[in-house]
Amino acid sequence: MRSGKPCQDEVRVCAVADSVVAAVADGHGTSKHADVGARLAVQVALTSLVRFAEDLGECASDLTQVRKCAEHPLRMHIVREWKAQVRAKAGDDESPLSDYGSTLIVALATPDFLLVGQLGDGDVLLVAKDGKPEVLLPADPAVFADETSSLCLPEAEYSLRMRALRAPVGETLLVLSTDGYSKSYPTDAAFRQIGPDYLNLIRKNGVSALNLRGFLEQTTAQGAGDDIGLALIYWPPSTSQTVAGSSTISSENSPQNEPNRTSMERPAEMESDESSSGNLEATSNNWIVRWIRDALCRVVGTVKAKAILK
Amino acid sequence: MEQEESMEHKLPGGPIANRPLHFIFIADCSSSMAGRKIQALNQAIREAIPHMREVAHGNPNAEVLVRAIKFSSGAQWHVSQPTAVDEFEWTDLSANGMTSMGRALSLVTDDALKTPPMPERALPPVLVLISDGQPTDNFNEGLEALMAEPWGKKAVRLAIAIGDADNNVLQRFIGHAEIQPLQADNAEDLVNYIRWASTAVLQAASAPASQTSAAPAGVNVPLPPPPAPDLADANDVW
Repeated sequence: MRSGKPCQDEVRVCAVADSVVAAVADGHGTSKHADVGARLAVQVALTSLVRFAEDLGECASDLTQVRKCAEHPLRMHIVREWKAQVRAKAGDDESPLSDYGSTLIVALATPDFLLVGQLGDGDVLLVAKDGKPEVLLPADPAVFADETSSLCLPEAEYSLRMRALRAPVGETLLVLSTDGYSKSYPTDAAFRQIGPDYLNLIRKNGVSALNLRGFLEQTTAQGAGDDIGLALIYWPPSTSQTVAGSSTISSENSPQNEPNRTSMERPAEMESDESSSGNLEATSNNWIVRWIRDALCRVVGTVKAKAILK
Repeated sequence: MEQEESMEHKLPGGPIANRPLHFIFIADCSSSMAGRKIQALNQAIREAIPHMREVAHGNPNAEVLVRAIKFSSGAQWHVSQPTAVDEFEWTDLSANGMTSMGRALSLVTDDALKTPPMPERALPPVLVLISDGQPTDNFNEGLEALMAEPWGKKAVRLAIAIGDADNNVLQRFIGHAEIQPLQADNAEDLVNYIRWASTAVLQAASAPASQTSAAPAGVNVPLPPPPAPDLADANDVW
């Protein structure tokens, strides 16, 4: 593990009602409490996104309204709440915010829309059925090499780039990852190929067969040697299909269905620990592959890998 | 069928690669370097190479690529291709002419530090400027060109002064008050400083920590302390 430090990437996903939220954060290596900053970033983001989805109510179907509310107040709230929580956590030690610096990438998937946001480096890819990976957010000019925009900077809320689009129709995969993943590839094109490759693996073997941890550990060992955080959200071609980890999902033979917007039957463990925005602390940090049965989309999994220095 | 099976074992994405780390010597070959100084410089770099290789082997996530520029009356690449440290061999420099330091900075900027060819995913390059004199050309123009490039600003810029070099110019090249030019008053100092730059600094640059874009320029790679001057050889000056 590089420098003997804890993994400074943080990843969480949770499902609330008919929505899925995911957040990925990368604490800066130069920040003393980067792991804490990243953890708080993810907690704040999940709580804020869940509340955002609840508060939208009927406006959720109005994409213009969603975009407006994402610009303000959502992104303001996420950044200011993170700063408030960092200050509360720091208590009397008067640590500057920069001791907790972190990036943040978020996604909120509802039956009506997909909202993504990014502050700092990392990647957000959307892969539709045709397999072409689309970069959802414009590049941040402040990101260069190992330098990045950060939650800890003044007016960081204006660096949180948001984008809302209609909920994907048909088979789709959303990839959120910290910069340790893309820096392990020699070119952008080589990295973006992970999108269609993950989609193909899911089609062929099902999500439960994905060895995400193995992939990431091998990638960072052979690549950049940095921590990697990854979250995947998968929309199957037909939500009426059997949810089975080993089944092959063939998009070629599947009808182009609208996502199922009926209420979902949630696995028991999710009812207990992720059903409310007030109890997000309980979401797992560990690698998880969980199903949301008959839901809008499936949380494929999240994983983080510590950088290993041989 | 074979293709399907191989897909299961293949990592998602294209081929994986470690991050390139460009290490560039920028060596003064003006007339004043002739004799012991240029011999010592050649010897110091030659001795440093095996140590650089050791450091590179210990950092598999960095691909160390070495090049060298020489400047006298004009500037040119002495080793033009980024060369894997395992394959890097040193051909002796000779000294003759003026001190076109500004031109050397323009050359390294134009040929090595633009994006492309240097990708954004690269590790911060290490530039080691070695000189014993004062620039005889437009140093400011070269420095401005260097600092106008993001990789120029992000580079770890070190300077070794051989004898009575213009420390003010070298300090401006470094661009950070906390890092001083290293004063090599004898051959032993020069060996030690070049080895330090080629090993300890190389090691630090191989694993930089991420930081905010508001961090002060020049401190992106915290540097280990340089070796102390060799006082035993204090009388053995150039």
